[in-house]
Amino acid sequence: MIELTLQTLSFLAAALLVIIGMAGMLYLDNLIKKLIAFTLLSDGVNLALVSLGYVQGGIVPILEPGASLSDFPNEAALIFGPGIVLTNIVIGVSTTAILAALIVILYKRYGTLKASKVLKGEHE
Amino acid sequence: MDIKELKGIRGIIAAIALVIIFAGVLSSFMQLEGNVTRGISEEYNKLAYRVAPNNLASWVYDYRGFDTLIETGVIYVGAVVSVLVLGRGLVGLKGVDDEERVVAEPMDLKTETMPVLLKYFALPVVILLVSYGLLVVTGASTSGGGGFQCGVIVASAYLLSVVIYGKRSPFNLKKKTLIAFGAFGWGLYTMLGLPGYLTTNYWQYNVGADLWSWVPSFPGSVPEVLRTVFGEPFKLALELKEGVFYATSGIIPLINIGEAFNVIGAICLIFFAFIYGWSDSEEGSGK
Repeated sequence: MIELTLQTLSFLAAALLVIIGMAGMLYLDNLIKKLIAFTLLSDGVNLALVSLGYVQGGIVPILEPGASLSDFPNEAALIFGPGIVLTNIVIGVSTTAILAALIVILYKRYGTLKASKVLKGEHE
Repeated sequence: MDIKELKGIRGIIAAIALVIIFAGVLSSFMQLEGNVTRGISEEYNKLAYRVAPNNLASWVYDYRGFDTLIETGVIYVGAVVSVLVLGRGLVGLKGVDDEERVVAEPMDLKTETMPVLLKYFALPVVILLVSYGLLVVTGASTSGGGGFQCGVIVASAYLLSVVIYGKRSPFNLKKKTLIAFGAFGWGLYTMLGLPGYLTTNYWQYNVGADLWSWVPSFPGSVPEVLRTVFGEPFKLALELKEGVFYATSGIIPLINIGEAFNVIGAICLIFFAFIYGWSDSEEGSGK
């Protein structure tokens, strides 16, 4: 049986976010809802990366004066995940902006936000 | 596919597929848990305190700074592309006549009907937000980060002021100003990183130059205020004494400021495109 630590729980939450996002992108028809689902998916991935660095009873990864260098690696939280997440947030902002702009274009072209109608080329 | 179509056997198949994917995603996340070495690489711990004020800053100097250079490029290009897509209708679909090309229409900003209370209280909030952004970007003086956050905070102030006051907004930046902001930030970031790269092949390496000695001096030397505000760019000084931890952070604060300019430009540009379209004429018309 898996032990339910904080890390396990956040992995569970991350997996839930990913799966909700994926289901939304696959099964929802509205383009705006698809966009929201996309951001949920990327949030799930971010949460997984952040919770990767969790150390139970750990400390902030800043070397205080007088800190023991031998204990530090085992106690400090992993900073690699949050670093990747920073990049991911920036990329997410850019892609969301472009996707939103494309949705506006599609709406003006077809007069509808339904992906099924847009794909068939139908106008509202 | 619509959610209503997922009835009967199709709905069951969809649900089972989702459960299978969920199990896969969860198990792969859980496998990460054991396979990641805890703590921070030994190398960082041995070298960090000689390179930078803290572990995160040493990390910025190592690869993250170069990573951020590409990142600033990505966000700038993303903003400009979304503006182009939205405002000029450059993305012509096949078989679309010129009359059907997309013409950007401005958002309907009926500022006359805005409640008086909002009009009075928005300005102080905008001022507070901008000063908070400045605090954030100047506060992160010893490690990377702060630029993006400042950019987002200031951009939200911009959006608030434009939504409340419309064209008469006190914080109404023009299209060209925003593009210049973004380009200036990107350029500043590049220019600050280049000296180190050209001399040592390490991006953002602090070459150790005393910038202030190059400035054609005022009578005497550079005012103490300027030194205090801008610190010692390019000159990384670290002293680990008994109980005293003294550090200047080199070019990191300036890099944060460059990043902030870039992000303010890019995100305000995105808001601008969604509010006014491409044009910034008096009526906000896209024509």
